[in-house]
Amino acid sequence: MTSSVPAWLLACVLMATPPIPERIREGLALLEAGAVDRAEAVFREVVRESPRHGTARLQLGRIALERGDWEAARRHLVIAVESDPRRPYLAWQLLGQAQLFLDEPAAARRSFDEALERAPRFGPALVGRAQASLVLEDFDGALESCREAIDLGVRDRRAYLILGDLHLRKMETSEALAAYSEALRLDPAAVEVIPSFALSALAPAGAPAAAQPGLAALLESHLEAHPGCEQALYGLGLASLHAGDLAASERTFRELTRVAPRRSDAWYNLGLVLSRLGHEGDGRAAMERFRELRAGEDEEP
Amino acid sequence: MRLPILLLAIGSAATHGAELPRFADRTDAAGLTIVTYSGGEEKNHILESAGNGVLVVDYDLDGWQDLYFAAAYRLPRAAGDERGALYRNLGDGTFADVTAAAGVGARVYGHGGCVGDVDGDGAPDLYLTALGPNVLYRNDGDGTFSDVTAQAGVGDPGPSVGAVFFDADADGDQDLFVANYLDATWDEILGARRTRRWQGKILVMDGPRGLPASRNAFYRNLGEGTFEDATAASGLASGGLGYSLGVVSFDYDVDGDVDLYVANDSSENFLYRNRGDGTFEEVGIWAGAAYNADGRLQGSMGVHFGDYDGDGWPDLAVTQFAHDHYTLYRNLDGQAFLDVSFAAGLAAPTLQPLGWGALFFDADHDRDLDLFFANGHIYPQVDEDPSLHESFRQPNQLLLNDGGRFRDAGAAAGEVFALELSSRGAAYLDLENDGDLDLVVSNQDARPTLLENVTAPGGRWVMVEAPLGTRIAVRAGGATQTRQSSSGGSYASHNDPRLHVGLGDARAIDRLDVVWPGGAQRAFENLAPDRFYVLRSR
Repeated sequence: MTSSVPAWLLACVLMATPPIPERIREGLALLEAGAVDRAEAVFREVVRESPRHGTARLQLGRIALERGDWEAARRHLVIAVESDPRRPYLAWQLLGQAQLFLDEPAAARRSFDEALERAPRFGPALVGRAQASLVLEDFDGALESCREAIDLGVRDRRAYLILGDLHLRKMETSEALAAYSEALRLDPAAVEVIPSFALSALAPAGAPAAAQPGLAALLESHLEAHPGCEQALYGLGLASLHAGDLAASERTFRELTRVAPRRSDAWYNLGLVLSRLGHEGDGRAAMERFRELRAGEDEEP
Repeated sequence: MRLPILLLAIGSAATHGAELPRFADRTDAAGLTIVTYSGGEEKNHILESAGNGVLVVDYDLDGWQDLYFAAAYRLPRAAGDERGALYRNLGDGTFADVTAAAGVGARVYGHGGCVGDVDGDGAPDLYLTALGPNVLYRNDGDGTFSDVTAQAGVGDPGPSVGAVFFDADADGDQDLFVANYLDATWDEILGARRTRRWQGKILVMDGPRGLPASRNAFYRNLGEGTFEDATAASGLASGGLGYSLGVVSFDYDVDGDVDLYVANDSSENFLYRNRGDGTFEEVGIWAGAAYNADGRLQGSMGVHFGDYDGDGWPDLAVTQFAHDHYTLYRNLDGQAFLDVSFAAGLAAPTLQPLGWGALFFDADHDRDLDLFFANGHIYPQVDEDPSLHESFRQPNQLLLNDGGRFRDAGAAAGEVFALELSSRGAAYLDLENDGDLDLVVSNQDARPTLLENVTAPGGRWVMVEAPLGTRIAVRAGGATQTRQSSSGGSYASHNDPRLHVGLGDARAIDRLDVVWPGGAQRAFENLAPDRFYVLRSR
């Protein structure tokens, strides 16, 4: 039997659907080049043809994770870990990450354990395990994983943020500051996720002498690179207030109320500082603004 | 002008050395059998979770501190025989229930109260806070009391929790401040249903948000056994309405008059500064003592004051709702407070529990003030859902002061700190007159707990009995410690009125400075430690 399809057309069809390994390579190259949408299209095409293709599922899970679509990430990664992708430890680690975002810390820790079973020195899995353990209030487990990751030379700000949190829980403020400092050094944007209460803990006069100037210097340095960073301004304002440098505290909180005029904590502390400086009129105005904002927040302890 | 004189009292032998403080449960041995109920088991109305306080009072002036336990009703009222109880300290570690004989068995839905001397006869009187009206028992000096509420005019309708006697206007008699929580009628309490879903998981009682806050009250002592309601005139309503629970009187700016701090649940705390003429202005927010460091409202319950850092300015410890740290306000200069809860190590161990009674006291005579907290949740339903990681019954806490930073001693301070109950009021007292401070805790729907300080004999001490409002400064071993005599405090409770100071290994008290109510001063030098001293006016 002879085909009625012209040879040139057959060639075109064959060219449009290259073999799967070739398409996987193409997808990875596109990812590397930053063409995420095109890469995703390629991997989707692969899973349409081969729904349990481990590598394609892993890459789709990774893309979904980066986009913040945790459910989709989990869906792809569950298939990936069952399908024996080329790097199963990575699939397990990414699955754990998705589960953490989905507020499933116990499942996440199991996934990180699976990853570590396959690659015991895989830093991101150790950090993820520390994170899951922290959420599960297994502080010893969190500390162990965290330290192991750091000992392995992992340069992940999360490891240091977790370590900082763990030290804070024990009120080891100088150790907490050292950990937070390293997180800030690795990624100055980490200040955005250091909680206000942690900054409070590090700032007050009761902290070890070396801690306070250290924190202030870190925050000032971060502000030089990122002027207007709210959390850095808040931390710096608190540090100055607790150190008794009311003028610096006033400057910082004023700047924060300019940058973030709806931050009630900034107005509150500005009001306190102004009151202590004897600027009663300005202090009263700041406190009135604070009260207006708090009324809108309608919090309940 | 009245001047203090110093009378040497009883001495006590002790050996000296640093030890971790330890406490032992002596409730059974002491014979404290009362069950202090507070409403029904399900706590359908918030006033069923307010619980009760405990008052330390030497009512018969025999030198041994006695105990009055406030109690509410068990609901639904089956027997209807629940009442508060007065226990006489027999001096041998045991107590006798003398409620009926002393005539203090009023059946009220009681929360707590305070101790004072409203008629200046030297015999301590009792003021009981309740769903209302409150009760004033005048001590007749013969081991019995008379209910003089009506003639005194202090039958506040409440519902009241905290109360303090203090000389607001420096006229030599004791006035009364009453902290009221929220308005509620019996019908509302009995008909309450749990309609609020907490943490999206369990159905719990409503409030306090959404329920009407109640007005606090100030009663000025007219000196003839009667009081007048001077709430508005005194300025003690200028803070507005709050869900008031704990209250403490103290001179925070050390200017010689007595100020007030009121702990409010889910609303701004009040700091009332005495202007010196018996009128007050509310300065809580300006002083930095109304909110926490981030300007957040907290669910404040109990409060106590004490100079934990030895700088001469009295600081404040305030207990809070669960999943929020208790608050340590450091008094910077008599004008401004700073929330140092995290820096001082208080925040981490108190994030989980829900606190009520708060006490500054030197548990181990190491010359600084430690902290005791009585804990317990308000929702029994938290036990039904493990995912909440909560429990209705919680261990109490002893936090030891180590150079201005606190650490939770946990059960190392005794198995009693592993005991889980839903505690409320707490007070300290020297149960056996041996110079160290013991603790008594009121537990909701359970018997109280009496914790004897069984720390191995260590540092030296001194105890000074002084009139309400007296300030003392004790210099010994190179350090100066200050104390103020006050009424009420903690949570709906009243402490041993004697001022206790741990002296460490100091061999002598170099100097004792006394500032008498009204401002007269006197100093004494080279006093022996391990003694009780009594300051009396002449």
